[in-house]
Amino acid sequence: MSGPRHSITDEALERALIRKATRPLDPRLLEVITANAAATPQVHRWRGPSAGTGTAIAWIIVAGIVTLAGVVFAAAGIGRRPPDLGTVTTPSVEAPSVVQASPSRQSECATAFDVRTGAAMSPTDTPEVTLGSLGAGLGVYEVGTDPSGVFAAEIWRVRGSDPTSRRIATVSGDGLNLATPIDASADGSDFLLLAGRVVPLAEQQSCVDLYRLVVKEGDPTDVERLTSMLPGQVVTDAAYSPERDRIAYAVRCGQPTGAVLILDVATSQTTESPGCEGQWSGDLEWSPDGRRIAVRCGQDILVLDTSSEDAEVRVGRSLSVLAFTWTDDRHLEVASVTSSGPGGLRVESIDVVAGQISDTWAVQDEAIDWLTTSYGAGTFSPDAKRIVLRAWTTDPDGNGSQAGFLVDAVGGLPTEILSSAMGPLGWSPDGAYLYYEDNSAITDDPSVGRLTMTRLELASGSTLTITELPSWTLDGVWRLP
Amino acid sequence: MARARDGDVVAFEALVEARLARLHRTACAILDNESDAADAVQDACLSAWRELPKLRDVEAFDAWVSRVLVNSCRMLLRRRARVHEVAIAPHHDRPGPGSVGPEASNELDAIIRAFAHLDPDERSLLVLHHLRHEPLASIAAALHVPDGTVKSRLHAARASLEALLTEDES
Repeated sequence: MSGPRHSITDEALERALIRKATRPLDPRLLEVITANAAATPQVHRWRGPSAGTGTAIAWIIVAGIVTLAGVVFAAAGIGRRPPDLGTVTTPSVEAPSVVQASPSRQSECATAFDVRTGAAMSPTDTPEVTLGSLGAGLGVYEVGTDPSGVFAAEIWRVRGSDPTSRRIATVSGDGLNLATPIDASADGSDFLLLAGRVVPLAEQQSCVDLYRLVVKEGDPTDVERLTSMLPGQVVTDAAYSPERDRIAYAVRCGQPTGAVLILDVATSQTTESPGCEGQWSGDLEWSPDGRRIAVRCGQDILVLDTSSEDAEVRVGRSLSVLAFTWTDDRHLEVASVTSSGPGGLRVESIDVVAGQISDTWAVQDEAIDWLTTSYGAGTFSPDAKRIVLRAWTTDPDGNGSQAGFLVDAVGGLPTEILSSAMGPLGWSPDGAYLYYEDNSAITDDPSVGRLTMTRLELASGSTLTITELPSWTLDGVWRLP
Repeated sequence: MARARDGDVVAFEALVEARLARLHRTACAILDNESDAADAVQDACLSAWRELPKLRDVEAFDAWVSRVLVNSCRMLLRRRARVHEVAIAPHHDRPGPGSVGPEASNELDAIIRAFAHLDPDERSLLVLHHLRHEPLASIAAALHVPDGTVKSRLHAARASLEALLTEDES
């Protein structure tokens, strides 16, 4: 270092600090503080539950052998508001047709917004179908809100090799408008469920918690509430570690900030990982060895090393991450949108230990006008070598429409494989098939609708309608077609 | 104050509202972004709500809340310090996120930039002393150190800031 030492006057320092301190005050801040104080006078953490206390609430379901007609939740400890998850029933009804497994973790909210990003979606009078996160050969999906606002989520289990799908629970409750299965064990005995209430454009009124549903012999036997979120806090994703001894979950708070917490299943201890502050936290995925967690934080991917509390890596990107997946214990495959112009898509393999990109590939295709980055818009195949994504295209007359594209993740141009409106796209475990909901099957009557799930064989391009999902009515009573 | 201590949320809201802007400014001065500042203010206010019935000297409310806020800010900064940014090679069609920092436009910007490299205690000290003009005894209480230590640490923080500025210029 050379030259004279820089001296600062008191006046300059004060002026600099005043400049730094002069930031706009979010008008919602007072409202959030007051709401938190009013709702939970004895609990004070803004983020999720703290270690050792956050999971102190156990919600116990009193179940019958065949049918759980009533559920009694017992809350222990602090005076939180009553739970939203009110009823779990198990109708002994088999689905009329075959649904195959879909291994993707796609979970758009059943109402007219994306719970993952908070982005408002196009308002719709019709419910959407959610494909849950799936284990090997197992699928769960949910049918959402009916137009009257009465909520009942049906959770179905489907197996790739099993010609039947089975409704394993109907979840409803006062104040509930979201119940989404997000992770399931391979044998279908244990899965994680997000349930709560999300109010579009009113983050401070939203509250979504994480539940664990245990299923034995096809019937749910226990529901455990794993988190106790405050108003304004939304659990956006959760996943068991590969050894199933820990559950990582991401929390989005009312302000643009998030957190990632890890729950030890055996001890119920919760630890909060740093790194997502100041940004939204979204979907997450464990590395195959269970050491690291990749989580979407805003437009970045944050990699948390659970073996060391000081070893967090932010894979800083100036791009919008479309999808990501682990290919081995230290490499993360990331697909990002590189521009808002025609078809900018980049796929990179990032060595999260060295912080280096080991492989990168980009495509610009005039056929794709722009790539939507809403959750579920892009999904890697199980072998991470292909990506299926939804994007907008424009025909020669200037009319825009949504289409599905298949992109080889190691090079090549995108191939349009679907031209109809569709919901989330999911892969079969072997990568041979894609599954999607066909929104075009919605009826003209907004009070009664019907969606179909379709299977696309990639090798031949042939499609097969594999199920018609149950219709719904304004009174919220579900009936099979 | 009495109603708020008795659990009246509306009264508590009024208490907070009167102080919110000042608390927010303090948090913004110590922290690096508005989200963290909002977080720290929320933490501090909820702590105040929880502990308010235990507060014997209501006149000390403002100093007490300030103390809680500064501690919230320090905790946030320490937690953030555990995150290691890994530089990724920039794209050929778009500069990487951390490739170029903004040029210093004037001395105030340079001070603010250098300030971001100070540790949480140094930041808190300088903000309490040079922005909020708190008495040394109050700063000592906030940081849980003796009065004399505040003086020496203030001097050291100032020296650190000046060293950072000198390094920045060179």
